[in-house]
Amino acid sequence: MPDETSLQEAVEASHKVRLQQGREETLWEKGDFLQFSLGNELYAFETKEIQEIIPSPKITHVPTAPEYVLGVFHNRGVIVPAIDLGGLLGLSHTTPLASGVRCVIIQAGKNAVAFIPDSIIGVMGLPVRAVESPLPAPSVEAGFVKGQIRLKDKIVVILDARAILEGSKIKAVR
Amino acid sequence: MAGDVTMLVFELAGIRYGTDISHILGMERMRGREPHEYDSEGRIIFPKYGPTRIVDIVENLGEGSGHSTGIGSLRVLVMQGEEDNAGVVVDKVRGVRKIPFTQVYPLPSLLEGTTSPAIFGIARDGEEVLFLVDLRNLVEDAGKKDEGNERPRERG
Repeated sequence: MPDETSLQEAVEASHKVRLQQGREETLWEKGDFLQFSLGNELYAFETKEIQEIIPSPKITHVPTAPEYVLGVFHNRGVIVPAIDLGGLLGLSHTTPLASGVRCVIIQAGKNAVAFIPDSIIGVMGLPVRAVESPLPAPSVEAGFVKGQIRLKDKIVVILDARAILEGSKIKAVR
Repeated sequence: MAGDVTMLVFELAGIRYGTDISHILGMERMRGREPHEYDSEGRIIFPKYGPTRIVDIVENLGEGSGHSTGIGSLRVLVMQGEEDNAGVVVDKVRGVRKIPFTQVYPLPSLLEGTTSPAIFGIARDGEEVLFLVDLRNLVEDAGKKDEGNERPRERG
């Protein structure tokens, strides 16, 4: 029969193993990301941050709003602001109001905001551990970037919907 | 909350606004060729409303784009002020609308502080989006910026 000390050690060891298993599970946990292009770059949001993808709506310009606010539109009983995400991230040569494209509504808490990507590539499921720290960039310093994923010869930048939605952080990267 | 809210809908620099109709005494037309009669303080004398201080809010809401119509097509929304009447110059008056409370929304939080403080909400009129604006607030603000009257500025 084991004495009290060895039992305690066994409990601690068991706890460590469980923690390790939990960590392994976390490392292998999969996340779904909506991948899209803006300018010449590839970006993604976690699908849990995506509220809806809709046909490009009629956007009403907001008087005196900053350049990155494209306007507002009505969607299912809610007024949604639309932003020029490319402009916000400091990209040039983006087409914030291209016609015939789709609009992505992202959400964090009760707030939502929409943007119009150049193209939507699709949803990719990847282990969360595949997300690396982002390379230094103004958009990273602004807090808009969670990380990046390497896919063969491409890098997909993972954006943070909450940071983009927080009014205090909304300021264009210039 | 049930019921409707009645608002006057007008257009300025291509954007539609809704304002509380109870603040508006009436409407006049800006004259292009035939000049108005002015009093010694430079206020236009409208026969129906008397001396009216003209306030051009296109600088506050129009982002410097100026009016989208010629001076002769502009309308003046006459409001009762503390000392005299104020005439707010707008491009077009679209009429009076009854809009259900369910179609009236606060400004999205992301827009708070980014647009004119006189804009306090948004309403949906069919497929159109209207910005709800407190004209009294704009008149006070414009009055502080421009002591006296001004001539409406056309786009160009």
